[in-house]
Amino acid sequence: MALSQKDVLHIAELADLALSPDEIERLTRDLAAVLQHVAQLEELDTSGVELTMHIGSSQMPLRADQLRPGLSQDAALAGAPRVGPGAFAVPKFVDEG
Amino acid sequence: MSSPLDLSIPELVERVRGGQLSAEEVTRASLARIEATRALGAFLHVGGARALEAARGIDQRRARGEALGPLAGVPIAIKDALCTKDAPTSAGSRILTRNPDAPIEEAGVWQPPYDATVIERLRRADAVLVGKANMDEFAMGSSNENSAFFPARNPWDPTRIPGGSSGGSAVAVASGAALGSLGSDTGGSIRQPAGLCGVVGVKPTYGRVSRYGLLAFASSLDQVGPMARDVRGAARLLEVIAGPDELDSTCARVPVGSYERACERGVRGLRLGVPRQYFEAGLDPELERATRSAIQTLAGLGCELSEVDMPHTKYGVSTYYLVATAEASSNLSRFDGVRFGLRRDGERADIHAMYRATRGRGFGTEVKRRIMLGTYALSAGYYDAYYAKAQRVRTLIARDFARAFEKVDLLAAPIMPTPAFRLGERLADPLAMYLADIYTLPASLAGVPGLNVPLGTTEATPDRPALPIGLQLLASHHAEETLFAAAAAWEAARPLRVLRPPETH
Repeated sequence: MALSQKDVLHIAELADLALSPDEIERLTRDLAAVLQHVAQLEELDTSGVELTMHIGSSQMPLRADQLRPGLSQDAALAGAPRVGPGAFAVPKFVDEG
Repeated sequence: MSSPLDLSIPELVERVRGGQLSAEEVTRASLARIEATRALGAFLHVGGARALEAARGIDQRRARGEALGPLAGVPIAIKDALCTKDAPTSAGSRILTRNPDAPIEEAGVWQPPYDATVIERLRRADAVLVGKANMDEFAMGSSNENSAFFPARNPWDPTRIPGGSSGGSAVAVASGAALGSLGSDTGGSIRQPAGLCGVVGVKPTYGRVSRYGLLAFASSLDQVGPMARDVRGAARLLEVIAGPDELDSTCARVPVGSYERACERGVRGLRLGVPRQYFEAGLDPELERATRSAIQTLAGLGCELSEVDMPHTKYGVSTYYLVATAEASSNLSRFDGVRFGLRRDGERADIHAMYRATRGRGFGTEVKRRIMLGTYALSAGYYDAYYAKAQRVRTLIARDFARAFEKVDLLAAPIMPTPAFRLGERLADPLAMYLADIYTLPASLAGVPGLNVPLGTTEATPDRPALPIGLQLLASHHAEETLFAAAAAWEAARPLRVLRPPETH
């Protein structure tokens, strides 16, 4: 599996990761090596084999639908790097113009 | 007995309950040992005053005649991936700090607003939490070298790795600073460092222990588990932390076993399987001899031996590194500069530029590598070839275990192909690092419980001191009692009675 730096930049964009030129070079090499190894899975015939997305009970247990105390607004905001009045502060992401 | 830290967990609890030892003096001894072994890098945060306060509270309750819990006064180290409401939590990452350029004490590490369920259960059992243990960033690593702050070192030889990702948890117990610890195991992160440091480490069945408050890495694999110096100590810890939790819907509603009592059962009549594929090329000959000899000892104690075939073992590494990274790429999207830790403004004033700048600065190399691999495996055009394919092969690996457990009650195998390697030795080659996880990954993919029990040590040579060798025992889902029975039987028969690193006893 050949992986180009352009592919790596595209994945970085999807993953919301800023990468330095050194990192791009290193990751291109590392990811290519790993992808080359995992290509061994192709030798297995898995037609008709189900996916194992989860181990264990398939039924989701339900708890009683009762009100209980949750995290207070102050506690939820306490770890945030930037806050506004009662809210997480983030850069604008909707163009209202 | 020179120090209360030389006692086993059950012995110590008995003395604290009986008043022969105070929780405060045990805690002071633990904090002093943490200080004396600081160069091993086991801790990212030391509880100090809070731990002493908790210990005095336990002593006062005893003085008032109250009954104390099953971990009364036991000093416990907690992997820094578990949320603690009275201690900062970094998961070994700079992205959970305000100032990524500062040493950890001044970095402004994130303070969780609540305790993980397992932490709450430890506190309720009267354990004393002495500190947060070092780890590979977000549990991604097998050597603890991916900690964003400093590596942890193996107490048997500080030039060598302690294993990972729960490296600090293993070092804390092996060096005697804590009597027990909690780690998390996604692909071997409890068993492997326990093996390399010579302590007992248990990865419970997937779903056995609540993960509420565990910083998630790969949600279909992550499991919290205990470490201790001996099997009974680990059994008692697991009994305290295991069991259903209303705050974690993936936590199994299966009654908790009597793990400590199971340690008295013996192994007579147990069917012990030796998986052929775990002894193939790549296994260090000295480790192979030691492992086979331990298996013969178990046979001598009454186990019925048979060889079993687990033909998909060699696909474990590929399967794991696709499934785990895919899940990680999704789980770690929550670290985006909004709710906790680091925030870096981007070059443009839009939210994606902020995400990218924050994550680019906050995550280390290995975390970026895994997010990238996982994102790729899930991306349009590659999903079927990588992610779905890996999830199908995972089914084949799980079937290997299901078939084996039709014939045998437990499996015995090595933990890792080699003893602990030197720091820095494998950093340049991530694939070589991944391949060394071959013996621990399949059980994680199948969700079965596994345990490391120290087997002995390698022979010291002029360029390598004696290093611990671990024996891995695996059983079917929720058969932890079988694991404890066999591990305790081995421990009692082990030729090397005392297994402590050179400078700690």
